[in-house]
Amino acid sequence: MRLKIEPEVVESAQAGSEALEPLIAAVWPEAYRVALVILRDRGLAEDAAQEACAAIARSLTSLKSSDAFAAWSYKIVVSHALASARRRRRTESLDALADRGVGFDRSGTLDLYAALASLTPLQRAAILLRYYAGLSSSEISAATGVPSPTVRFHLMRARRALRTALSAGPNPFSYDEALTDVH
Amino acid sequence: MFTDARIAAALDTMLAGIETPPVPLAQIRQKLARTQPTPRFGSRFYAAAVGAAAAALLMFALPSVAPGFTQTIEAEIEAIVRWKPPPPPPKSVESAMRSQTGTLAAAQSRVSFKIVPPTGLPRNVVSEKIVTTPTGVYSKTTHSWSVGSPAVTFIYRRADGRTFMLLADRFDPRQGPPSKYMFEGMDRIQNGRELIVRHENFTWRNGDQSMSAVAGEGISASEIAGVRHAMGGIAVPGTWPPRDGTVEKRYRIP
Repeated sequence: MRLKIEPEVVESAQAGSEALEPLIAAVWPEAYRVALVILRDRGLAEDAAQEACAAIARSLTSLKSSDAFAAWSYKIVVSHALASARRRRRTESLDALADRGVGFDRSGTLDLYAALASLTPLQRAAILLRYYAGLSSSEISAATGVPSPTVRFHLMRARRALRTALSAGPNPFSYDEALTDVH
Repeated sequence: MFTDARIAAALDTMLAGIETPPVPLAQIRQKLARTQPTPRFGSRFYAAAVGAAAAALLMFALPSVAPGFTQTIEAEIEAIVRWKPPPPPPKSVESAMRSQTGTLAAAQSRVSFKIVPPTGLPRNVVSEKIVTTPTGVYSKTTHSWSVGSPAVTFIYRRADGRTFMLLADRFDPRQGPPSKYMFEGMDRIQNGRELIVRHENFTWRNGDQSMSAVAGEGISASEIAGVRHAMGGIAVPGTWPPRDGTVEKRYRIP
């Protein structure tokens, strides 16, 4: 999980000090990136990330444990991104995003962003929450409103799709490992 | 090997490579304020309270949920700009203030004064938008809000991406002299206080039209003077501190 905020900062912001502004500033890049990967649309991602940051600021006092801030924030971001995806079921290709000036350095990395294009927003959200935010299937279920078995199914499908997509194109890796279900 | 660890590592690398735009604190604050169940006198009003009267303009975000983030600075604002804002307008008034974008002719059909469109604009203006918005009128006698006659906002974009506005309204001497300055919150905390920047405000008359513009990043004071001169406008001197002797004030709430 990339979002690392000191518990003291969260608690300070919860207490109503001036720490909330830097806290939101620290959350913003992660919120935007996660929303962009799910929505694949810069404008939608910005709006969803803004909504998520506002929701985080609004609900911060309801967070019981400051240690859970990162996971809690990711859930909120994903929830808003999925809500945006439901409102506007539209995706754009990586090329289109690049044309619009979305900065994204793919040099030397797996072409994962392009591979994620074959997934639904919900599958992308599940992949991010599982492998990026480190949440369990039950936590992803709570974040997405999808039953845990369905989450595990989506993760399995997503992994399979990623393997297919990444194996199809030229890349320095081989993907001959049999997929295992995620429980 | 297509392992969980590889997916996680690839996601880490991929997300780290995504450039992010600057933190849009102002927009986040607006969303905070907009979603308040019982919003107090806050950002939207400050952002839009373009004083057609002798009041100062404030562009502030003041949602109430997070004191540290937003700060309760109304008292600070009042002390700085020497202007006590009216209470927030009721929803009935606020909802009636819907902006309409259209042509100059359409705008003319909605207002009660003769529109004299801006001329002598900066050379690199590339687009124009004309927005008509009813004003809100607050009576200090009855302490109530009502919907007033519309005013017109000319919004311009320059080739370098900057934008600026020229505000046209019916000239009403009962409104008193305009404020010489407008104030803008910069969404930054400096020395523990909200950073507030003062801008010069210019007003001129053409017939029964009063036009005003605020000097800033979008347009300079000399460029505003060029517009006024090209329009043949008569300067209406601003005052500071504002002379607040009127019983009614008009505000724009887009």
